[in-house]
Amino acid sequence: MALEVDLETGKVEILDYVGVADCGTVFHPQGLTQQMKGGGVWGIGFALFERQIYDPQNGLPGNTGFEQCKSATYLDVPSIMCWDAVAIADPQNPVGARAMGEPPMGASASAILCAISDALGGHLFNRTPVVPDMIINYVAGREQSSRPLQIHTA
Amino acid sequence: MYPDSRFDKTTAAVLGRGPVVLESLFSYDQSACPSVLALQGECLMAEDQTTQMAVAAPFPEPRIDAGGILATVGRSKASRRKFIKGVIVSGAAVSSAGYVFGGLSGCTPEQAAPGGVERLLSLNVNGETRRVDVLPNETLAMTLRYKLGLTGTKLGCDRAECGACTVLIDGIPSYSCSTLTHAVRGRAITTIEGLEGPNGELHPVQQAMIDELGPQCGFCTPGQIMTAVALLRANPNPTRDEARFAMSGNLCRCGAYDHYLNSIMRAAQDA
Amino acid sequence: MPRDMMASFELYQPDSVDNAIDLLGRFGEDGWPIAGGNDTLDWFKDRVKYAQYVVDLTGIAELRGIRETPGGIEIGALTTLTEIEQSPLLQERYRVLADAARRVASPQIRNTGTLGGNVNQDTRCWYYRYGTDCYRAGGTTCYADTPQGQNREHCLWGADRCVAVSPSDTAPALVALDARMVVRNADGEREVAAEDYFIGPDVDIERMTILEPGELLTAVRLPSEWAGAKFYFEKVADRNTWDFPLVNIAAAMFVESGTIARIRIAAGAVECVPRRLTVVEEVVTGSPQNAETAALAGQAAVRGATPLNYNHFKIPLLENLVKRAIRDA
Repeated sequence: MALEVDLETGKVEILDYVGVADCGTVFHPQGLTQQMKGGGVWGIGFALFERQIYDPQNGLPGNTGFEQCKSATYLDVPSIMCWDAVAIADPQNPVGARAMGEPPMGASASAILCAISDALGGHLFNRTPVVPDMIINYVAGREQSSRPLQIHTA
Repeated sequence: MYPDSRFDKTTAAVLGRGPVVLESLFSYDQSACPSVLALQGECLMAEDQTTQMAVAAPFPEPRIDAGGILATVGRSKASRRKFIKGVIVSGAAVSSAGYVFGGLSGCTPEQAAPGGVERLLSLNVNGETRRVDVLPNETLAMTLRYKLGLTGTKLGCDRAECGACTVLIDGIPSYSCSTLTHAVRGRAITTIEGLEGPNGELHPVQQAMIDELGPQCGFCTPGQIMTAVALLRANPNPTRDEARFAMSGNLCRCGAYDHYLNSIMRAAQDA
Repeated sequence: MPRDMMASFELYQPDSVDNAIDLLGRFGEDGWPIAGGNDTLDWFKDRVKYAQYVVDLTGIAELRGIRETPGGIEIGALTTLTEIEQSPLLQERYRVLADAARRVASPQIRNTGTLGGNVNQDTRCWYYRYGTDCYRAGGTTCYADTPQGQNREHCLWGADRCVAVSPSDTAPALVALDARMVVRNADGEREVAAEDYFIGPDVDIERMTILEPGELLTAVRLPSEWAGAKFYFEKVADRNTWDFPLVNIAAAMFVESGTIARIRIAAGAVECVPRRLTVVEEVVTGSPQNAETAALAGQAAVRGATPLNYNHFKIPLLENLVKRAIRDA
């Protein structure tokens, strides 16, 4: 994962994505590609966009549509995403395969968070998603609006 | 839950006066618009094919007790069919004037008389003229899916946010969930069903989607394909970035963006 | 909140502005003009707002098109955002408006969404959209401006019971271009400066523009005064498509031998109206266009901002955007 952080606007642009899977024997490379890239897109969404907020006082959900709970779009993910597989058969499975549905999501989300922290030179934020306002506040030396582990708020 | 008074109203409306204000088939909230009278039952009695399809509108929760209405309407006797024919005739008369708004007589709010648009209209869908019975508050996606049986067009968010419902209106990709059917009268609508070639062969974009394994779950694919078709008609050789920008109104929750772009580039190459 | 089929309404499709005005005049508060429908139908589907009589304007040909006039350019209110984005005339002379239109929502929305609809759209305060009985909806509370209110997208200036912001991308561009909004009602036509067209909660908490029931925005006139200036438009939103601005900025300026001779600059999503940054204009006029001036302008732009709990990031963000606009235009 390679990304660029705009310090003035807090926007993160993902330049490159490579996912490598230790998924045992590969049966359907095209299908695996889908899983690797699709999971990567989910991870990008987790790490950068998908805020789930509630109004704590009234218990109102703040995300009642894609407009508010924003999943990643064509323009938020790299135009070309790459993948590969280790292709070492799993000894504990009769056909040597492993499930590949979900692992790329968490992996790509954490890769992005680490990359952002790295770009800003610290161990930062401790939460997802990292949205522009957190980066702007950090760069400007302002206090963050929400605390680490304080979830479901802006 | 649905007091009898409502059906009495319906009956009164039908028997009492010719033109009636029509209420949504799907609506259940009478309090929202108390002055509007209901006409659900009538369609159930119709033998006309168009109106029968109207009844087929399969909403997840049946808001109306069809049997009850039938019975009620049955009691109010006779001439449901005649009534609908009457509407058809007046529809033809008005639609011949096209968009023209012909005078305001009888349209004042105080009288709450018939709506400005006629319910029966001709839609140009996939090159065919389809006569269809459309409510004033009906979106194009509803009409296509539930009245014309063109269920290839999907409804995702129903809020113009996801793009699953994309169809071409005069060749321009639009969200059919947020377009009133009455607003597209006289315009050419193309849905995913209309992409098929003369001998049933797939459109190059569809074929490329298969070859490249474009979709994962496939729910957003009809919308993606429609947008891609419009893009390739306007710009047969797009760069990957141009394609990405043009497609950006279609969400894919499986995250198959990369594969969709591969498919589009392949379709552009093959064409 | 029920979310399903819209409540019923009567639909009218006038073929001329006169007929539309006549209808809207008769319907008054119960009437609702609809163009692209992308905002309107959401309200109806969410059953937060209702209209008894909906007047579909899409059949009115005279409301469409981009025309050259002796004083500049006139854009019909029903011109779609795609037409604006792709118009060679606008790209050449008023690029800031074409750029702003290009950043609105998604391609499909720009294909049906109109300039009139974009400037007249209602605010995106999620409490208000959710259907709460807030001030703007006629109630007596602001849910966003409470200690725990989730107000990341809300205003820095102009709070008056309501803290919602203007969500439009084209509105700041129109303010920067000193556009004139042509409003028509039964009594005739009048022209209003874009700056005065938008109103805050202190003027009327239930509306965002001066449009009264029975009135229509028919056209937007761009004066030739700002044609061919140096322009800058930038929108910062969470996503790169289909999103509303956290802050956006539009600027038009004339630079003569390195010095900023004339400038108009406006920012969106920081106030209930597109905020014209007159302070910045005063600070930079007559100064060289360089990083130093830009830094001063940025500091001036955010003076007096009153942040809420979750939106104070908009202060450095606006400062940075003003800096960029002055520096990079």
